[in-house]
Amino acid sequence: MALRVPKASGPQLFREGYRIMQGVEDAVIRNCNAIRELSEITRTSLGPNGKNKIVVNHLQQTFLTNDAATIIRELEVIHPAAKLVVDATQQQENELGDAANFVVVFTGELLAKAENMIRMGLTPLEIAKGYEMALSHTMEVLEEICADKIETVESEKELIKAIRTCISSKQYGNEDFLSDLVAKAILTVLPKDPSKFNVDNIRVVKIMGSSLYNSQVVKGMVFPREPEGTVTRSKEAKVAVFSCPLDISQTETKGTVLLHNAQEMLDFSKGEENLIESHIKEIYDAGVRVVVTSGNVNDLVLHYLNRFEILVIRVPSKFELRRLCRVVGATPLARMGVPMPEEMGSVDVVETIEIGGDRVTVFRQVEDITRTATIVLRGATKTYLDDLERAIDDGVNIVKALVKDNRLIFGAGASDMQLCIRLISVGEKTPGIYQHAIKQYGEAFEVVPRTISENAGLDPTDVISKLYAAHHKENGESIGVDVECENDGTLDAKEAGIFDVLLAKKSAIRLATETVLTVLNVDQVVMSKPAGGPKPPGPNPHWDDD
Amino acid sequence: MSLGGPQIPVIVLKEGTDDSQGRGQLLSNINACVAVQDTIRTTLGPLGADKLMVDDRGEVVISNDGATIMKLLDIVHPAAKTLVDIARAQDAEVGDGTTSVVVFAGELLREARTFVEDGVSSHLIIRGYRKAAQLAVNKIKEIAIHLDLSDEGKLRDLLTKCASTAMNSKLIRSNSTFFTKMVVDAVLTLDQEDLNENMIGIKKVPGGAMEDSLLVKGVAFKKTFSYAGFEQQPKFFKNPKILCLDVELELKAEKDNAEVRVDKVQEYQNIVDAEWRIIFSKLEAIVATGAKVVLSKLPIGDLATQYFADRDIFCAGRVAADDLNRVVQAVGGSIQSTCSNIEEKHLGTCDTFEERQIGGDRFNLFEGCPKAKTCTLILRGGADQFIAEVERSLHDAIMIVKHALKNNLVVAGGGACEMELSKYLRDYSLTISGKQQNFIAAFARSLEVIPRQLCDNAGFDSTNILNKLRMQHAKGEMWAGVDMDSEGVANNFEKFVWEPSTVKSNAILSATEAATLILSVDETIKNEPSQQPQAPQGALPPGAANRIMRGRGRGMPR
Repeated sequence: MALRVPKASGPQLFREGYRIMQGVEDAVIRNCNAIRELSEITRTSLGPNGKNKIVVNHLQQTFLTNDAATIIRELEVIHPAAKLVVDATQQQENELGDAANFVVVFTGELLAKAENMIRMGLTPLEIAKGYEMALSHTMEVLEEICADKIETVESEKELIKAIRTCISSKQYGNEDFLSDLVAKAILTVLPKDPSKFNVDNIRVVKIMGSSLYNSQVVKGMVFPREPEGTVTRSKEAKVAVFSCPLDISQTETKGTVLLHNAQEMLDFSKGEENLIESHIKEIYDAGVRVVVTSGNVNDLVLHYLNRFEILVIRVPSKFELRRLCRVVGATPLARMGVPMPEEMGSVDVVETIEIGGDRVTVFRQVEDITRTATIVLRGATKTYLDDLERAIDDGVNIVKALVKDNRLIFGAGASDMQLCIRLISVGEKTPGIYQHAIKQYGEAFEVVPRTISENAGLDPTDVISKLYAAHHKENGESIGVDVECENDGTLDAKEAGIFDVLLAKKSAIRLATETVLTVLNVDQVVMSKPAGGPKPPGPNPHWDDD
Repeated sequence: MSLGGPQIPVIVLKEGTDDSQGRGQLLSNINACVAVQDTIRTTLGPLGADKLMVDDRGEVVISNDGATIMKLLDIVHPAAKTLVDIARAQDAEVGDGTTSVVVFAGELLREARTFVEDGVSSHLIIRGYRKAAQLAVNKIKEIAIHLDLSDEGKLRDLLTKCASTAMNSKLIRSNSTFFTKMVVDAVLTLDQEDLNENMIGIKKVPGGAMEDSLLVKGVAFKKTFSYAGFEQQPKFFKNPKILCLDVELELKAEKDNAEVRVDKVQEYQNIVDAEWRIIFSKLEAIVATGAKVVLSKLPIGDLATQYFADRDIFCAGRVAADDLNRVVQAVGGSIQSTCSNIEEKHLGTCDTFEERQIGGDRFNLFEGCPKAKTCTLILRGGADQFIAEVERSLHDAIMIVKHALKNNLVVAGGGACEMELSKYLRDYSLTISGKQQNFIAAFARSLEVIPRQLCDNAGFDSTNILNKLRMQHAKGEMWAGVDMDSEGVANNFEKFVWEPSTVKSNAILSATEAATLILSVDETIKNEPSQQPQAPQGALPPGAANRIMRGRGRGMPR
């Protein structure tokens, strides 16, 4: 044994400053802990009685919300494993809008169970495999327990059924009013083929003052500004949309006007006015009565527009301009000139009205189905309005999910309870070591009713045991948690009309499980030394203090 | 494996992030809001004290207006900021009642605090408060008295009463009769369909006494900077034609990037002549319209001033845009951006135009305007801060009158309405069983803070008066409220202490929304502010605003 093999130890393999964590204890358990800590934060926001959080982000912006996606986004999570959860939440929020909090809470719970199993002696890979099996069972079970269907998204009553639960988890107490608003807005813009529904067609304009109950749905688009000129209303008008400032065209190349004699000079100033006048006259002669621009309006141009009694309004946002184009059916023109007939849009009514103390301009189409509806939200504080907007966004997004899959399952924790019981029985029938993981996966669903009842101020253990009893009975699968705590803490979700959208639930469960699988499969974390140069805000060298 | 060792902390969030959760956090938020309420409560009511505030630039503001104080307080506590928002919302929506809304919201939280300390779930309190607020607003609708606005003579009388109630709580209460008349006149001159209060201009001229303030039915603005020749222009016209321009009447280059190349000396002179000809042709065109008063947003130079003076025309350049807009509203016509093709219909007219000395300044006054949908208040007074406060008070009063006109429903002030609502809710709470009874009763108790604070600020024995009030209301005296004159209780409706009902219902709804919002929070997570390596916020890259809105650049693709 004379040969000496040099030891390839960590410090020599990597540059100094690298941090390596490996093994079950160092990597998996710690990652589990981190994610659980994150889910502890959002847990109290789950369900209708979830609490709000004030989040002040690093730009000193205040968010007051119980929308988990927003909370987590603004939290600035730095732990690498916990960041996976953040991504999963964002994905859920973007695709379906609802059940974002469920993703976080369920991930946390699954990992907590996994941690226990690791301590029992199972390897992370076995757990992962078991969870994977459980996931496929869950999807099957979900198909079976489907409770109801939205027959048609064109009926207000049916729509409200789905939207109400989603909104009540964000704005409990106002859900009836809000879901009414959202349903109305959706129906005004719903195309004949519901699958072509575009969430972008529902706009929210927030105007401070008054109270929520004075909010309204306006057909068409609402701009929180007044027209530039003296004309403030127009009917059945042709619309020209310019994506450029309304000004005398300027050359990009630097140029000077060269004058050779006095006559040229005299003509020059005249010429400019005449040019604009003829431009505007041409536009007027083409039948345009409303002009929309994204840039500034030159005084002289405005003057002539006023003379020809053409309404002119500025819409500085490119996105809004694009939407407006869709509403009026116009093509935006990149330079000032007469639009072709097919480039012009038309609008039935443009008018300036007063909402609260603010004057707003409304572009409205009288026909029954308009292409855009605007929800004008009123409320006392800005943070409150922002939160309302998020709730509405979620509500609108639900419809997107509904047109893909119109099935509903029971809410209020009833379907979770059912999943829990069914999975445990599946687990018991499974031979081998995966049995544990499947059973634990089932039990993890318990976290939903438990958290809902905890947040509602009920005794969770008591409620859970009652739910177990109810679900084992015949026809008990619709029993869920009663957040009003009027009887014994349970209610029939079917009677109370609490339904979740199947697709949202499916996607949330899948996302959560996938995150968990990723975390469980990690056995080593290698972190490079933060680069030099200007330090990122508040770096912590001991990010995972030993 | 050495599992189960000592718990090692795992850091999920960035260092410097402060998060606190649970009931303690809720209580601390409530305490912060109550502290704000304590600051502002002493300004409530006719005998409330004023606050003197010095901002970071050393500017002094004296005010009694809740919204102004809240704005200047510069509150950084995230929960307490909500109160600033509701004061502002109340100001924008109805104008008055800004102090009441903060005081009431604070009191709702104070009442809730005891429940939270006892371990009641805040959601139950929220539900109770929301229910109570709805009941209260419905009750206001029920008890509000409908004003008959059809009778012209009576109308003024009724509006005067509303305005004087609003003004009583302000600095100018001693002159309230004088100012109420002014305010009511001002609002009545507006377009009754539209009632756009921006059409009431307020000009401040330091010096003189408050009673020297005056209302101009039409437009008035301070004489603008003028050039030589101005003295020779006439300063008084009867039925003049008025032309409003957005043109610079001066010798100047027609276009910035124009260049003249001449090869003969003779041409040079021609060019100079041409420049003169351009401006003269503009002036000639103006004179040809027959206008006697020429106003422009842009400067009117020496040459033009002299030219107009020779032809007995009055001119004023550099008129502020909003003044000019109001002139157009009052006299008719429209603002012209060119001098050519001006037609008769583009000109306005008024009965008299005059330049008059007011205090140390000269003012241009347009009176007797045919389309007079606008008016101007010229305020006089001792000190700048004083006039500024008068302006704020008048603004509140104007808003009140506007709302009285719009909704024509009034209730009695001086705490009478609050006491009646309180009694109603207390009675109602006794009819329900369960926890909600407590919360609705708490809401009822909170309403009493308004009369109590009115008494405290006036130096009365609040306990005594409140007891009297409760008794009166129990007897069915719906409008019994605090009487400031006799240090007792009186029927405030008969004493003409009136307020529009929208002020009350909006205040109750806003305060409830704010209080419930604060109650629903159980956690504050505060990230450490990031040091911005670049320049201060003034010069953000394009799109930065959008990114800030979304936070951290991870925008949602929506």
